[in-house]
Amino acid sequence: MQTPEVWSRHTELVLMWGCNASAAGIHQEIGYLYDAMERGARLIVVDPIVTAVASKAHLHLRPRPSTDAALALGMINHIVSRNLHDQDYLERHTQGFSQLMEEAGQWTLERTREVTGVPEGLIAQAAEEYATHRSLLECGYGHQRYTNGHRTQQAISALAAVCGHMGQPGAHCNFMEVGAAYTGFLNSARVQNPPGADIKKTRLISISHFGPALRAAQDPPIKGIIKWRGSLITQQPDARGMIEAVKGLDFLVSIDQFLTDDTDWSDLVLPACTIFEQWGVHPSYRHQYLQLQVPVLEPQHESMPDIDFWAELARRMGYEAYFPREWTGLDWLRLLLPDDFPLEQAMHPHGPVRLPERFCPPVPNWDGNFQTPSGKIELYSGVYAERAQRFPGEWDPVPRYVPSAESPDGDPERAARYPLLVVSQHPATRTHSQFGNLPYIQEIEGPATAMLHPDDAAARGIAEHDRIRIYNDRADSHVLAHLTRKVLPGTVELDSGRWIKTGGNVNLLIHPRAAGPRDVGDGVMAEYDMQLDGHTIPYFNLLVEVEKA
Amino acid sequence: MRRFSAEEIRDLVVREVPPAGISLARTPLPTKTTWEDRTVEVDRVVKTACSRNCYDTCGILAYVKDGRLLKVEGDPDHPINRGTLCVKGYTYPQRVHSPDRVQHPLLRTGERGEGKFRRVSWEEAFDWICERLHALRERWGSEAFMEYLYSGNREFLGKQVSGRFLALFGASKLVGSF
Repeated sequence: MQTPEVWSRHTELVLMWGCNASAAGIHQEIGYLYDAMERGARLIVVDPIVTAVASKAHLHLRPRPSTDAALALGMINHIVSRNLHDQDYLERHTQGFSQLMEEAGQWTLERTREVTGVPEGLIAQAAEEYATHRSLLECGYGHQRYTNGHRTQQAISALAAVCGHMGQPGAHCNFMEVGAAYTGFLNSARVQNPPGADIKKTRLISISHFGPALRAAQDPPIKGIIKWRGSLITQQPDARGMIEAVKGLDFLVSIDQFLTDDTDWSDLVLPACTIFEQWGVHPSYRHQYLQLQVPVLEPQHESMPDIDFWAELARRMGYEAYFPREWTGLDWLRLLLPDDFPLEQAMHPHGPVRLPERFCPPVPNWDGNFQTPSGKIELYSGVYAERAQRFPGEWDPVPRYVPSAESPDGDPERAARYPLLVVSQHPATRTHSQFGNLPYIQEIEGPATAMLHPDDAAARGIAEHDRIRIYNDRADSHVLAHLTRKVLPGTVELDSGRWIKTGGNVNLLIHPRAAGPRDVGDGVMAEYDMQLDGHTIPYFNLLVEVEKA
Repeated sequence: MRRFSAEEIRDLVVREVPPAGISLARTPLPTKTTWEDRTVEVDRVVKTACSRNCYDTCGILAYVKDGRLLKVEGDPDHPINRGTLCVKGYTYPQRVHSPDRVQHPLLRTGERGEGKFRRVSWEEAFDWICERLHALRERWGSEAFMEYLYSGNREFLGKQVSGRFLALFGASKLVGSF
């Protein structure tokens, strides 16, 4: 990540892709974005929904959901056809440009418009403006929530490389890849593999294919789970399948702050501390500052700090030697953070601090070097080509547009029965399934509501605030209708994170499916590389029909 | 686009980005605040951070009075949130002191899915878990056990400590992201 203090001062144009900056990560995105815009920077937003930040954009491109890779390839082709690419940068710092163009070259403006629904003039203007300014590409996750999400990110990143908009103050492709949590700042191995311990390699279970993995795991089956800091039933796709899987367990323990969908299905519920009642460290995955978490209050009621729980459980299970009773969170922190990190500088009453540059440089890739085998941006990915020899999956070395699984393009047969695609935004009022139970938030949110295009509503005899049933052959969800042109015809917006027991949960309707590039089968694995294998949950590959309830 | 040279970028970083590893605290921590239209003296103000699954990891000033979280504000010295929080962040006092919080260990008494429990002690809860972990390992092997954890609190310390126990126990390992 290029740090926002730098890009906001130098960029001439921000291309914000699949990122609802007005609802999530608002300080970094909106705060610094507006600083840049006050300096005169232009804003182009790519998002099918008219979000608040999109309403501030000079240009707003609204591709049909999951067609973003086609849009990026069409922009690349237009830029190259106008000779607006950076030939010098491509020669010095990339490989595979010709292979990229074999694919991108097929994306004429006309074909791009046909697939994405974005007018040709708008595609051309956005591409030309992006190429001819000092441009920052700010990527969110919206465009990734489909089975073709990895291909889309590949294509968007290639757009930045083709223009040479990398590693320069105000010109970079910002994505989550460089957060201190993943660049060696945290010495996880030192905590998890204590010296002298006999640690055996065990099998791996994918969190993004957890329900299927739980049902498929054999020899042994999964029989016991301690669930904490996560919402198993509310947030995994196919909540009903998840519940079936949970029924097969010998025991499920939940550590939670509230009585959630998960605790209802648990055998034992333990009171969790909030972030104000325990030690913690959370290096951002998108900026370079750190303030350590210190206990502000005593644990409330009988709640127990998470590390105290695990250490006590470990001691009782016979691992006293590895969990000294006198250790506080501070001792564990010293073990986890680099020995030369000035911890007290980041801790009350001090802090925050900027993290050492070796973990998160303020202007990454300024020297044109990249962490790939070739040291270059691999527009033709040798790593993918190699990975394809070892694991099944969608390892195309160059970006391609392939229709995503459960979408009008990808599954026309299903779309004939369930013609509307659901996009689930992360609302400003919730973080996944959290906060929605608080009175302040409920007062702001009101009842569960879905956004529906007026044309789709009219065709179904639905009026504003009518109670509607959103359904497919898996389940249904009852909410109120809000008729708005903020969504494209053919799409429905139903926020993620509503609890099943209080209504409006979207995940009930979703088929459990793992996105690529790697095909992880049933989700039980022997090895896995998070950076290469990906496979998040394609939450937006969801087709439904809507009727008045 | 004119490209900055390596020297120019180095100079620019020195000029525009604070030095690494040195506390950026500049504003004296307050001793009082406004609360329901009054000025109140607080017991202490503590600097901490938000660890939801969000890029910002905002710096928080936590106002504590009589053992309670009276209010929260954004840390004015934090370069990212620059003195403000989001709508979620401002709800923390209500969340911490919610009457709906799980207050003590609860053991299921009804059918699964009914949400019926009875209060038990921590001692009883630990015994309950340990007994089942031993039985599970005996019957199925250690890989029949695992944690399910994601980003509800995306802080990293806790999951390293659980990771140490799970590695020693030989549990199946949860991987990936969504």
